[in-house]
Amino acid sequence: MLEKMHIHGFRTLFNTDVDFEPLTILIGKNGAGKTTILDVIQIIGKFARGGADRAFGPPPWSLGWQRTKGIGTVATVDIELFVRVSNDRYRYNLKLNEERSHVVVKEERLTRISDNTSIAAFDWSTPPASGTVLRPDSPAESNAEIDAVSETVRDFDSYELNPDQIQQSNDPKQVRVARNGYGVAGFLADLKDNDPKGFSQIEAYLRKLRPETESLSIWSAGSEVVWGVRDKGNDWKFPAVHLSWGDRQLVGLLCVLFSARPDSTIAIEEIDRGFHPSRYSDVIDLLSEAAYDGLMGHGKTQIIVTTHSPSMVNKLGDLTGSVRLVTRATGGGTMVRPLERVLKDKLGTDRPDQPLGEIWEMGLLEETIHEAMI
Amino acid sequence: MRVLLATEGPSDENVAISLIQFACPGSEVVPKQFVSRGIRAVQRAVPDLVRAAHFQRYDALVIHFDLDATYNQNESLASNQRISEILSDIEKTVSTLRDIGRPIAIKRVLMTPAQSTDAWLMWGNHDGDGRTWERTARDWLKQQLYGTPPRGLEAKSSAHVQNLLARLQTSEVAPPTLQAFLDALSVASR
Repeated sequence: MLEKMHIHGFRTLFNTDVDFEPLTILIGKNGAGKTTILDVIQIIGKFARGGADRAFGPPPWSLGWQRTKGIGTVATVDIELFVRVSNDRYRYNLKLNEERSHVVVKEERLTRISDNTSIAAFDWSTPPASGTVLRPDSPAESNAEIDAVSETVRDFDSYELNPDQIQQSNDPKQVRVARNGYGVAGFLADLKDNDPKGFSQIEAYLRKLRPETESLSIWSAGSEVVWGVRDKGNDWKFPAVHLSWGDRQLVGLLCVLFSARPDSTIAIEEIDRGFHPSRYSDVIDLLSEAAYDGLMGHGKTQIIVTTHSPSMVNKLGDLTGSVRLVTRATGGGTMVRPLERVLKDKLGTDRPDQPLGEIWEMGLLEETIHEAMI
Repeated sequence: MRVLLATEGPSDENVAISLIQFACPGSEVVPKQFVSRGIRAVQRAVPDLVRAAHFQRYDALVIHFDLDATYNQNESLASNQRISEILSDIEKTVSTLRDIGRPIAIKRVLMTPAQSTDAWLMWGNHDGDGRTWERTARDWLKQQLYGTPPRGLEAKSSAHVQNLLARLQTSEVAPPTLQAFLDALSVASR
């Protein structure tokens, strides 16, 4: 599980610290830096899967594109993660530089926190072919600890689900749900064939959250597979393209949660998107069940979401401790603070009278002009 | 003077900021808007507004709400039931605030037009007794100021408020609720 992150020099993240819960909800205005935090999670996952080229792509998609003008630039992007694997905690440091439009590793180190022992470090003279010490070239350089941390970090992923992509038919060989939701049809078809129990579980959640559902349907159309829904009392099935935006989004979300490996960390942009406010409580329940218990024994998944919806924040109930307020601090850098701490600072209480979403929407928790000038 | 201002909408906010700066030149106003219109939203927000003003060390808190049917021009504003209730809510919260070493307690100012700030703007735009404008139907006032359906509230209210400020510098008698607001600001700025 990702416990904490420190980032310096990446877009608006300047000396920015973020601490995470099993379910973390990031709230903040447009441009505060929520997406950037999610992008760092995505980039770290990609880096662990294949080094800098995988994370940033070939030139000119380099670090230079990741810097925000007006805040200032630093030569080195500095990322520090604190990761818990079973009962051990690890610190992972990654410093990236740019040389001739290539992103290069300046420092990479994995440290066991309990005894402050470095268990893997990037060696300039013999850099790993994979581009990261998290994927050693030879079994001799590897060990169970590195493998375990590597597996955890490789499973960092981020999604911006788009119903227009979720509804698409696709090649049955495409069984992974992509960042934008493309691939749901292939994922469901594969699940139905190879893990009928998992398929039934998704159907069960869909019935719970969309009570008119009779079943999920998969069928072939030419060389592609299509998904759809059969509703109660109907003899026909609706292809996904005929479902509402919110219903497609719901199926996309279920597929993301069920496709996540146990103990992985996934980030989802604008989790409220497309859902009627009356569904927010169900969505929150679903996320917290996935994060704290695991969906039907599927294994727990750490979840980080963003939302702009005050109504959703109002419905968080006992999850207030999971909310982080993302703002731009003096000088323009992103600042991330637990909402409960901000409430204490700004209102003198962490149990205010108004619903939290209303307080946030009124802007009573944002920095004032005066504070920004200090 | 640093002022935390809470109003019901964008045109009210424009009017309030201009009037605060008219009555208390040099004030820094930080505007917030209630999440919905109506007295219930105001009542819900009052305790948190008071706390925000106190803990974020504002000098003054200005809260806007309309008096609607509770207002009777033959009675003084001091005896208005809605004003009394909001003031009571404010005082209740103030009494619970932890001391943070503020030299002066937060100053409390209410901005309470009879039906809406539109009557104030109409008085600024036209001749006539301020009391008459406050008795005029609210919907008709809004149509006259912003069209049907209402649009461009922020830009239009900014233009209207300039007329209002000019009118305030004449010897014409302002609507009583507007005069009460200006008097309260004047006291708060001392």
